[in-house]
Amino acid sequence: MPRRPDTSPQTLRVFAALLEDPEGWHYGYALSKRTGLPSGTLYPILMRLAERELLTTRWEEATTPGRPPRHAYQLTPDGTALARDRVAQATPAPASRVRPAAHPRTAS
Amino acid sequence: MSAGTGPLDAGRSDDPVDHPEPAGGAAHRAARALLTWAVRGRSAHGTEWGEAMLRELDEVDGGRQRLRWAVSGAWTAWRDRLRHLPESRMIAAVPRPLRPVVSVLATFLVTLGALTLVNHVALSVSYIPSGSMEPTLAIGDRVLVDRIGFRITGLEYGDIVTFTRDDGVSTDKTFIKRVVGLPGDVMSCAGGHLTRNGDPVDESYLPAGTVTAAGVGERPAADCQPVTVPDGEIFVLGDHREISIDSRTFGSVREDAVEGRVLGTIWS
Repeated sequence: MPRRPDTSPQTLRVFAALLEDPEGWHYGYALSKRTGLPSGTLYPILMRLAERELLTTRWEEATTPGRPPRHAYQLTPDGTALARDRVAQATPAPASRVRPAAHPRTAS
Repeated sequence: MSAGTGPLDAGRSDDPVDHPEPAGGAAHRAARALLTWAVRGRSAHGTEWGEAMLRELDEVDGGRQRLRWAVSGAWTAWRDRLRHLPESRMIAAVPRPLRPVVSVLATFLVTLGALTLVNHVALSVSYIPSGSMEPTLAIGDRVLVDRIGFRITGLEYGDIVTFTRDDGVSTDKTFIKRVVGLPGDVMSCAGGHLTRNGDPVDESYLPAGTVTAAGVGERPAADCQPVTVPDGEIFVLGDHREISIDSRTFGSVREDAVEGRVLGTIWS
């Protein structure tokens, strides 16, 4: 039986991290810390999601003046629906497998 | 990986991994250099995602974490950059289904060109059409000819060389003979054995009992009289002394007519 798309443990971790603030904008490093995924695993997932328009990207002006803008990510309505579906179907609940970050940071 | 060592701050010694490194730290600089190369190559800007990874590097805490971020992301960034490189106009002009065919053809032609160049300039394979070098080289042997090396090392006694001369039919007929005399040598074959400057030449490459007599052809037997090799010329003989037409018949050969030195037989 072919594997359902978007159900790899890594993708589920990314979904779970994004769903912690489904409306919010997330940064790459914060997502990496939240999911425990290295950049080389996290970014290909983000790139695929953005390509399928499940994720919106934007360059966000830095809060500290003089710093370059940061790339930020937000689930689209389609993305939120798919993420909720995939996370809900995963057993055991993937939320329990998400390593809690030592210092939670929410990008906003 | 980096040891992640930071400033010698006693207050942080209990936290060896995640303490921040000064912006100019070696691990940070190495991480930044690696990721910048992967993201941008020689361009001023990388792809959207590459630049995003590079920007986030500034947010990563600690030298070791920064290195981990850069090493892990470099491959992703590099692939993303290659994916976005514009196709060259030549490739774009070829319809997509034909590209593998064109690619194979292009490889074939480039290889053929390169081999032809090498064949003419550096090394070539020659076919032995006559028996004048028997038994060392038989008719039909293929020999590998070095066309450059002998110009650097110079020729030595016993070398087998190819050269061209006018044989009356063709102005640049190729011959293959053995070098037995160099400029200034006095060659003679009186008594049936080759002598150089009065000393018998050790010709262990010849079959036992070979007699070196006067040359074949129109020249008289007086050819076995001593002859001095002029400057810039060489004295050459074929190993098959009974039939070889060589310096006994046409005299010494100009060194600059030599085209190559035989390295060995490829197949016989």
